Amino acid sequence: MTKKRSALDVRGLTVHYGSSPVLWDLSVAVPEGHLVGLIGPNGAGKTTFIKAVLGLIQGVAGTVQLLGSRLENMRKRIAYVPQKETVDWTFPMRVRDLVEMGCYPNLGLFRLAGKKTKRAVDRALDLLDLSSIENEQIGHLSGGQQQRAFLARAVAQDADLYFLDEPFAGIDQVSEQILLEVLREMREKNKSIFIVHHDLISAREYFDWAILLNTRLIAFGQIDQVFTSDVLRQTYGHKLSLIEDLLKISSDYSKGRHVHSRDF
Amino acid sequence: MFIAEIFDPVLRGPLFACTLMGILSAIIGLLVVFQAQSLKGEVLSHACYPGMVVGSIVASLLGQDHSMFFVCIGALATAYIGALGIDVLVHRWRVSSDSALSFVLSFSFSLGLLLISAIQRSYPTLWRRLQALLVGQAATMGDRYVVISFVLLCIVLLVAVVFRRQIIADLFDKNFSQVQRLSTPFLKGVCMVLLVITIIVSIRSMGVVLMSSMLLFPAVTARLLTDNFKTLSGIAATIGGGGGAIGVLFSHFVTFSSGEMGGRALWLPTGPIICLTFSLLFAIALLLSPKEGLITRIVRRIRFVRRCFHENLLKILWKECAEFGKVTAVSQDRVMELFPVPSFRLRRAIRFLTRREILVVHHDGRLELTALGLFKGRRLVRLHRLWELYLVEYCHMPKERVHPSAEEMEHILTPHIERTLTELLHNPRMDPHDKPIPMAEEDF
Amino acid sequence: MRRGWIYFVILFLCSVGCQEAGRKQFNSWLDENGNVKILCTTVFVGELVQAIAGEDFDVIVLIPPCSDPHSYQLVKGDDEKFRRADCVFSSGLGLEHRGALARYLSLHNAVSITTQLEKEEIITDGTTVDPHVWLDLSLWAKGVDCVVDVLAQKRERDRAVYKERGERVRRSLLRLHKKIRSLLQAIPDDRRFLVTTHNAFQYFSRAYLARDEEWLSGEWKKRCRAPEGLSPESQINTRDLYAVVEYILEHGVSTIFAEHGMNRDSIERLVDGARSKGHEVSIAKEMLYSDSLGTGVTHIDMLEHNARIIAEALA
Repeated sequence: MTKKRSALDVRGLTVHYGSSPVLWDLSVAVPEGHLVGLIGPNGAGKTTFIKAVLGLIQGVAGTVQLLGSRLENMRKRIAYVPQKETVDWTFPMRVRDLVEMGCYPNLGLFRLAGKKTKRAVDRALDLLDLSSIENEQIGHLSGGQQQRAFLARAVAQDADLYFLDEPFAGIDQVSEQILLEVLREMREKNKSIFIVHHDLISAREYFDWAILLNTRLIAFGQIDQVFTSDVLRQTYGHKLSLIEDLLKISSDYSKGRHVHSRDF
Repeated sequence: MFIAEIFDPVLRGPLFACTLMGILSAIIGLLVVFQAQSLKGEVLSHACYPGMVVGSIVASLLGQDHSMFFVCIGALATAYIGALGIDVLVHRWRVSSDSALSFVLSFSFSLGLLLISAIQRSYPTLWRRLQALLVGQAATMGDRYVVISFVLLCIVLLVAVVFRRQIIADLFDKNFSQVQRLSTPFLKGVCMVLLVITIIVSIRSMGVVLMSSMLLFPAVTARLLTDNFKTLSGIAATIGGGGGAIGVLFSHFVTFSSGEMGGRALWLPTGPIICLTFSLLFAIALLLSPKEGLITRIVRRIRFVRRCFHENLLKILWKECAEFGKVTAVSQDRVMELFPVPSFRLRRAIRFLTRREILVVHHDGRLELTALGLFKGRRLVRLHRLWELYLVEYCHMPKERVHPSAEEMEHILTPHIERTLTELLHNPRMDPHDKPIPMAEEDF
Repeated sequence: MRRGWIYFVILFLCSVGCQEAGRKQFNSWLDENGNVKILCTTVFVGELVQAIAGEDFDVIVLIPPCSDPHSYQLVKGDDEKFRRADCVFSSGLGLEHRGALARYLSLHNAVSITTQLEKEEIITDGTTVDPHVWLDLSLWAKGVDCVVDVLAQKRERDRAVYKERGERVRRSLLRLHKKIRSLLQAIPDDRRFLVTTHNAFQYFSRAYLARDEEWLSGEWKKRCRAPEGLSPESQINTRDLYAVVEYILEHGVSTIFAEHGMNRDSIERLVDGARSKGHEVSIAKEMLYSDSLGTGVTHIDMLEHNARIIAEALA
């Protein structure tokens, strides 16, 4: 039996925002070839988790290993699909250009976009059913089409690790089905996909692994084992927010900032 | 004569320098505009000012009156401090972005003015030269500035072409480009330096206050005209260069003096004229852009309204001719009965439709539809009745109320939707008012 | 390179000198010694008044000698000077037109030296009046009478003294005027054309470069040209430069002049422009004084200096 290596191996990751912790002592190890859901309530630190893993945010403590190696060596093998809202969709770009952007890391500075790039782009567009609108302005697309275009870019990159932030938020049914199909296909090819997801009900259906967190790690593992009512209550319950409130108030006092009184 | 005058050293310097500066600023301006940081360009040009003052003083102290070097170093230093200040204010002190920008702008500009007034008495020549930097003095630029602008333009074009992918990726999706290390801090630093140097060089012609128009207007105008980034860059560069050239030429040839002693009759300073040229081009693009220009949209709307009018007329004629009686032609009086509109509009529509070979006018004034007209009329009625049926069957609207909606929808239903409706309603024969629905036909 | 250093040194000394002198003067002027305090706007007015006034009056000048009077902005301490002054003299003809200064002058009933001038003697550029009268000594001398009048009003018993002093001043001004005129008229007629940085020398040219008949006919205007207008803060247009280049070519001007405290850019453009048309023009090594003086340079010195340079360069 071939030993599967970890797609993602995080030890003790701690991230602060100002003086309050957003992620606290997170340790997970997820093997390759799974569709992993990152689940938690709003403000749980899911996006922060991805950003810290990818080096967009500096953690205070902790180590991260991707496919057994450090981030620096793995950049070309990682595809990041951020939330739709973080991007300026009024930028003058066609769908095709957006997807082609996925090939930029491999093309480097001087290589011209040749046949290989064209094939990769065509394949990605076809997979995500975007071929008919490949020359449309990205600003004219619907939410679902935009998300598909984003994923097409990641597909064109042909990476091994994929990180998607809320790809199913605010998109139509058809797009959602297409996305899911493509993601499952990618999983069959032993790609590892991490998805920040907001909806508990659909999470059970979509993913085979899950990481539940709410500033701290609540649980991670196979979806059936993790989605017990106990664990869910812990994730979504309010018990843990007490610690955060206390931390914030004490730091406010020490900084001389205005303290809001709250009823507990 | 005109050509000779253009190459005359008096006009040559300002003309070519302003043109090159225009192209240069337009290209660098793309960076600023597409990072949604247009105001930052304005702030940087004002932040350069105290540095330029200090640099000029230092240059003058060292006897290098005409050296741009110290001026550049000084301006770079204060622009960098300004940019840093904005970052610190926004990210560390949580000041809102426009407050931070306004603060840095006002602060650095007033610092510059303060420095200037301090040297007003001690270094009057320098003072005058620095005052000229506020509003620009394009007319006294020599060939030296043409060379400087050209060299800078080559550098900027080189960087833009070589690093085009990185720059575009960074402009569009910062997160992606950071993860992929597409845009490095080094490249960002180079772009920043080029931006500041462009600002400094262009301040000579446009002045601190108006400089940002040269930076921003070409890119913003080009955005109105096209959606393709490469085309956009080309258009922006053309507008930048064109605006610069037109500004210089206009202010040169249209300024005229009356009397021998140069008593001015019409005075046109170059910098503001260039800025106004850009504004004019922007206004034209706003009105006439084939995409979304104001006038374009008005024209489209008028055309649409006219089309609806024609189609309504067509429908009436079709119903009279093909559906009801056996008449092949309809008298105009009858049409007026059925379609009460001002007669001149009717006549104009008839003329239009005749030209399009949709109907013909007999000698006695009766109107007859051609085959094309019959085809079109039939289709319109079909769409109208299909839609009525859809509203009744699927939206459960009472059949008395579906007519107004169908009157509107018949003009905009596409063939694709028509096919979908046909399928959905299982190829219906009758509409809710028991009128027959004309059959679908292939293209005429 | 060396020329640059000298230029800088002069500038520096001038600035330091002006500043230091200014402060000491002001403090001693404020002393309550029973004298009548007079405030003059420009240094030219100040010298004229001082020459007539004598010991009973304390004269101080508002605009520092090295500064440009066209664009002078009031600073701290100036309103104190206005308040303390018993009478104020100004140059007039719109020289001190900057908002606050103009207001102060009218508030304190400033007397303008140039009120005595006839309408035909005043030069206008369309609608603007040319204020550079101090460069024509014959016209400047006309201000003597009004100075004498004002001073005599303050000290009635010394009227005869002031009158006599005034006469002396007028005579010496007119003597110098004749001397300069003969010096400059000695230059051949076809070389007496003056190109400077800004249009400050109209009165000068009409008085010293033009022939007598040209004064009356208005043809004296062809004797001088400049790219910048009356006030040196105005923007230059390429059209202006072009026109001056044509002027240079038309009259075969061989030397053009820079002015103290003014940017040389426009003058250098003229050289390039003329050179491209095959005509070599050079910039005179020494600069003219027009709106301001250097340290230790008086109004008289200034005119002599200008006349000498022009005579040497154009001969």
